[in-house]
Amino acid sequence: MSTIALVDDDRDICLLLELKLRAAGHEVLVEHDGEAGLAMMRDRRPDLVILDWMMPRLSGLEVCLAVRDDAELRELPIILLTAKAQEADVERGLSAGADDYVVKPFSPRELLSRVEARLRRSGT
Amino acid sequence: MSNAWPDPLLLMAAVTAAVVLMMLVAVSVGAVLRARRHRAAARRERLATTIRPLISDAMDIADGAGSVAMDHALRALSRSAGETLDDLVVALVPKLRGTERKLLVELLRRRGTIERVARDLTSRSPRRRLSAVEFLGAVDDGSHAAALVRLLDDRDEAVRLAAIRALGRIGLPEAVPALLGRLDRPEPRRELPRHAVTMAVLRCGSGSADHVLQSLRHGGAASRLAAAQVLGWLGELGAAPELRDALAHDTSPDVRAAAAEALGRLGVPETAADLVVCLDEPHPALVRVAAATALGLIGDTASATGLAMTLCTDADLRVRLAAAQAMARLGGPGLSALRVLSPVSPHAREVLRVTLAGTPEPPFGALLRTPL
Amino acid sequence: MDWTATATAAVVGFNYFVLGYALALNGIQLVLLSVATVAVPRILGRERATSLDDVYAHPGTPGVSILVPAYNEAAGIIEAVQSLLRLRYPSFELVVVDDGSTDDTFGLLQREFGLVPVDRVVEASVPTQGAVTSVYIQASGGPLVVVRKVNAQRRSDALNAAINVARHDYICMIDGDCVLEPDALLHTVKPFLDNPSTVVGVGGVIRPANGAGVRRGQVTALACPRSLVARIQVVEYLRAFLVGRVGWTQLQGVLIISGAFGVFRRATVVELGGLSWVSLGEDAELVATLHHRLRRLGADYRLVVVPQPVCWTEVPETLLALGRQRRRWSTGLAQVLMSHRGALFNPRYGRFGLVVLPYYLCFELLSPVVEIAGLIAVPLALALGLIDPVFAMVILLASVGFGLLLSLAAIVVEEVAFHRHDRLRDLGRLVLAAALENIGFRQLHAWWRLRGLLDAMSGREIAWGTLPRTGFTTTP
Repeated sequence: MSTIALVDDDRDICLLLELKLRAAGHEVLVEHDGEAGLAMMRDRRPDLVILDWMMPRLSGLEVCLAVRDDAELRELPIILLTAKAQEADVERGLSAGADDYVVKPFSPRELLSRVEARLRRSGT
Repeated sequence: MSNAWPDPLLLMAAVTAAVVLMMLVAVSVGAVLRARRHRAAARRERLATTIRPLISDAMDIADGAGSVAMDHALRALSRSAGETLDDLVVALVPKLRGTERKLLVELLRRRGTIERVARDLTSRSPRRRLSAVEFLGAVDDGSHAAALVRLLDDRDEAVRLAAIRALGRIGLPEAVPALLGRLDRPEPRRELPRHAVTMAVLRCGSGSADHVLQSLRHGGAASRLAAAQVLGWLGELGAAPELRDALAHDTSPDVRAAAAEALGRLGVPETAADLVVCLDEPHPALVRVAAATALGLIGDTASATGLAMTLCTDADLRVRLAAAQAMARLGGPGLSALRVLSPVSPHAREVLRVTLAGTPEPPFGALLRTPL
Repeated sequence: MDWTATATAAVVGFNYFVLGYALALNGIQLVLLSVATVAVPRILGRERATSLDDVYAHPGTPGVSILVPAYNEAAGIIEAVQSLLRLRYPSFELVVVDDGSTDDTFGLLQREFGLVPVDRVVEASVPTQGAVTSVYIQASGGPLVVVRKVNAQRRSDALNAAINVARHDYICMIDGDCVLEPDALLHTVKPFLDNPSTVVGVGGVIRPANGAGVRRGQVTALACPRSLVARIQVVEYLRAFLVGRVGWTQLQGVLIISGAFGVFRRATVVELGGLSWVSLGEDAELVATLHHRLRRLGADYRLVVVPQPVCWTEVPETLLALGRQRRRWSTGLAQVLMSHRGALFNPRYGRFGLVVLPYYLCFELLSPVVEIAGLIAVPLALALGLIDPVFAMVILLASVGFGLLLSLAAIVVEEVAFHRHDRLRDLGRLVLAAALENIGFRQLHAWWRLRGLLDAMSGREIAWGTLPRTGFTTTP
């Protein structure tokens, strides 16, 4: 059973994904802004994080950069889940250190498969 | 004068009391509103907690047995629970795609919500019409597109704008002729903003390209302008011949400028020659700027000569600047030409300096279309 | 014997006038309040996050040049620029004008943002007094442009220089020490897009940010300011902006789009000759000139103030600083009214000449005169037994009491529409401030404004003599 962190300011999406992830057998930690999310990641060390980009206080991109800079969090798999869909955005997101990039509107089923795949890959 | 008047001190006290009372009323009103808001939110949250698992299950239905069970659960919902369900689903649907989204929309259809809301399209209250339009736009029900098109003529501005947005979100290419055509019928005080219409047409995607081309060929000035813009944004390479035609022959300078911009985005090298022709003086400044910018985007080095001429001789500062920026984008030949010209052209010097600093130059906006 | 009777009649008559004036002034405010109360929830109810998203996502959304005049702003300039760079808008440039600062404003900017000099070709679209010495851009290709110029003692000159350097179709003029809401540009450009043929200028609601938590350039937690002076201004701003200007927007009588935040088409401002070098109220002057000229052309136009807060500003916390500010505003208003007196009561200028200008003349500019005179006349009459206490009480209620009611109503409107003040305690504090606003502050305010008016009247000759505007004239 893995711990998945979910950082998104959209409460409806968070609650929905939380239900789905729990049903799939994972433990879920939720935060609604970048700063709280980063603090939670440092504190609880999840196995994977699903991260929104446009958030108050600290954007997903900045969280990404912070995680990659942090020696202890560096290996954390990050999936960016965002409405920003331009090519340039995808490039920025991936070069900031995200492992995967899912554009909203998204398919929860597909997102879940990506989560499982990532978790398998990182050996959890 | 003052024999029957009340004691002034008493009066003062009364007035002070009145003032204090007013203040207390204000605070109470504020407190009551606040409490009501919190209670409503708490109530909604309580309901939502019971309903969310239902929604989650709805997205997993794989077979007929599942739908029967779902129907059963839906019927068991109270009215307020049902309304909360509708609200939650409507909030979620635009954020999702794929099977889950289809299943959620199906859920609403089963509950009869879609039909019920669609009846509000003809309601007398603009607020209800507005909510209905937005609901239909969110849940992607193309079967009400005709009604939405009629609402493009609604009395209420917000409803008209919402109808445009809804048609865009539904994304039916068949609605495009109505959208673009409406631009040509400027009912006073009921105009549709071009910005909103082009966004909706863009959302309808490449499937609408044929309709857009029709507008470019046969529409009025307003729809031709919108059509040219959209074709460029959509990246419709097949539209290049029509756009070249519009660039050369359209009667409206706005449309010609838009065609030039679109050709720039399409980036077809064969169109460069037509654009170079448009760099000359008889063409309005608007068109010359658009042509120069487009040449930079296309990147055909053969246009460097034409751009250099414009840089040296054009009367309008913005055209000269656009020419210099375009030359920088051409790379080698363009940059050498700029260097050659820099003793005589301050624009050349500026652009070279910017290029050497390694920065992309700030974009130069299209000239104003509707002057004061 | 005769003059005693005349004097008595005059004093009593003046008392009646004060009563009538107070009723009229507050009556108009009540109309504005009603209009705003109906309009604000309706506007907000129709606004959808999706419509703002469309403005953001549309490839044709016009670029905006944000113009920031800066004089000796070393203390806050970096933070201000950083917060502006985080604005949610697809395409914008940020033109900061270092108006001959004597502190390290420029040095700070250069180091923080990696500025390099560039020979930017600057068209002299509008006249400026202080010459531009150099222009810098970011080596990284960011949207910041810094213009250094010679100080000309006027904020409007810095803005005019920025207008010349700006290259987008729209300009947004702001104060250097304001914090903008991230969606400010989306909110204020949208009216231009929805009504391209009629909207010529858009403003938003300015609110005091004293005591608010500002994190990374955004107002996160709104707390009631600690300073009483600031609190009173919170109430005042709610009444003036949320109720007043939004109300006027519905009646199409917007006279002032605040210099703290205003969005216009660059071409419009250029055609008007840029900002006034003379007037201390250059923001009001711009809008008044807009009205004047467009009315004369018979054009169908609109000025809009959107009800959303777009801009948070630090308001003066001491009476001294506040007094200076209000005095200056009053002088500016006087100058604007003076320069547009040709339109005053002139039917040719429609609502602008017959409603807006007269309102600002009688109920904004001259109100301190009436208030101060009333403060003297009413107690005097009471003391001399010329009027009875009930009548005096009625006057008090009509002015102070009615005013309090309006302030409280503005607070309630804010609570209903935005509820940005989280704690009930803050609501209580604001209500208290509203009371003090009407009892004490208002009278002091009248004194400052009176002095500003006197300043304008005494300085009139000088102001006119150096009027440098070309082309369009305001005197008939």
